[in-house]
Amino acid sequence: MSLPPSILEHTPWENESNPIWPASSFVLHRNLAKHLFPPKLGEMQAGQVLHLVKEALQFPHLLEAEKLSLLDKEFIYEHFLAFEGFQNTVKGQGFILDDSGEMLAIVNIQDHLQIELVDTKGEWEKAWNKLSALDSSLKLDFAFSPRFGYLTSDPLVCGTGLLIYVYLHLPALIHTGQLEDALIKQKEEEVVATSLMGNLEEIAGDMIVLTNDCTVGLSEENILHELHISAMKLVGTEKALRAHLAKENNVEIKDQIARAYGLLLHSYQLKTKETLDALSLIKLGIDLGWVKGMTDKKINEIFFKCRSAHLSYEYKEKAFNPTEAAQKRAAYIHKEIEKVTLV
Amino acid sequence: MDQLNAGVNRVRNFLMSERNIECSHCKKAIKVIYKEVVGDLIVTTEMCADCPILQQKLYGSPSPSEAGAEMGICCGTCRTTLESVRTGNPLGCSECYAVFSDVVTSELVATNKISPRLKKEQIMKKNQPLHIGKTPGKVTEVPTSSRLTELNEALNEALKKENYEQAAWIRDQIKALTEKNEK
Repeated sequence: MSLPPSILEHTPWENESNPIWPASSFVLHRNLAKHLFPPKLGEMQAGQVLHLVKEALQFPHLLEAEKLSLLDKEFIYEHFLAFEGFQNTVKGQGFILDDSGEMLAIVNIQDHLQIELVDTKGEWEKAWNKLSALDSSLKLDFAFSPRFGYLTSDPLVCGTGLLIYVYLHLPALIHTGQLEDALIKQKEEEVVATSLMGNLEEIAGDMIVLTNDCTVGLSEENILHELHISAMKLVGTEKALRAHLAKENNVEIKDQIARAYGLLLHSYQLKTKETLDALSLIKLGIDLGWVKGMTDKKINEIFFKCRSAHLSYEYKEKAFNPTEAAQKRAAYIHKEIEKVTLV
Repeated sequence: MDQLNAGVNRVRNFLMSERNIECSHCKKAIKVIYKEVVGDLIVTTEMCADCPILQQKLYGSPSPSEAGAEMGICCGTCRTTLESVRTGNPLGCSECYAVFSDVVTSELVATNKISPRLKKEQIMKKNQPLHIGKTPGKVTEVPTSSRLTELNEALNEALKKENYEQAAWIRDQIKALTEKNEK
């Protein structure tokens, strides 16, 4: 079974409209009322649920987990910045994709259905309205109670069953040591900040992820509002700080960008995190006008393609072991940044 | 960063499944790292402060009477037990929400997963809805104009804090959105 061209030929953030806020993803958790939830679901019933969901969604690409290689599952995981790895999937679980590559339905893994929509165009309400309309149109009998709302296998996600992830690229705040202060001042109460690594102690690629802490006791509109306002304030702060750094021609940050460039250009082995960290500084350098010969769009592409499964696909090879991946990653980066120069 | 990390217990680990950052048994934030020497190995278990597994490790197995009482309660549809729910395992079916209603409510309260905008009295009344929001089949649209309200709110706050660079950027966003809406 092969992955559809929508995800093989396009990287997720290629149409970003805002380099500081490249993407947001909206995830709805739903279960069917008349079936046991996935942790208790037998193989045969799981197959029925997969069939029912496929029929209701009418997305063209059904990828049954049992027919996918580990590399393919890793690729989906990387492409959609999924919650957990899909390595341990079993029969009856699967993924259903639309043609745009923006929507992914994960079936029978945590819940019967998790529909994820990735927005890179900054069309916040439009993206949610599209996902909500799809959810309402599905001819499926969802598990719902007036007290707990949509019933999810993890009770801490019941209620709206909606989790939104806002990806913010905040290198200026991070490298000037102002992130913590900015998060305390700018973040709304029901919003939580984390990193791509799952905690703020370890930040990869200077990406901060804002997400809603609660799904119960507030409406979808409340969740959207809290996250949007927090994100706008942080983007504004980052933007103002970048303008300040450019104006004073900040040597500290310039030095960090130059070192990142040196690391990417002169390494024989590169681990994923160090690559993302260095790419982040190059991305900042592009915005500040200190790096030439590279576009922001291209950096986003490299950001995804330097990860293990994407790298294997790039080289059209089997899955790499960590040492091979580090060497191939370095070779790939050398090729991609050969025209980059520092100003 | 501890203050900021405290609320994160739904973890998303983008960079591979290299680390376990949640309680090994439930999904709360780690408070205790428990290490046991088993033969030549050191077995590390990461747990939240009120994990029943921690209590078991510290004080031994529950007394037979306690264990017996807990084993008796389980969901008639999917056989999920109370102990399993208490240790943070997933629920097995919709019926579990009715059977373990009190436990689920306590868990939501203990982990601060119910929005503070909901009144305590409403949370504690068993028949009161905790859910506010869409219901199956109902279409709810969020208008683009709500973003303008948010931006104006952010602008006022930036001006109040005399953060003029941030305010200028927000003003640009308002202008761009207004022009986009007018087209």
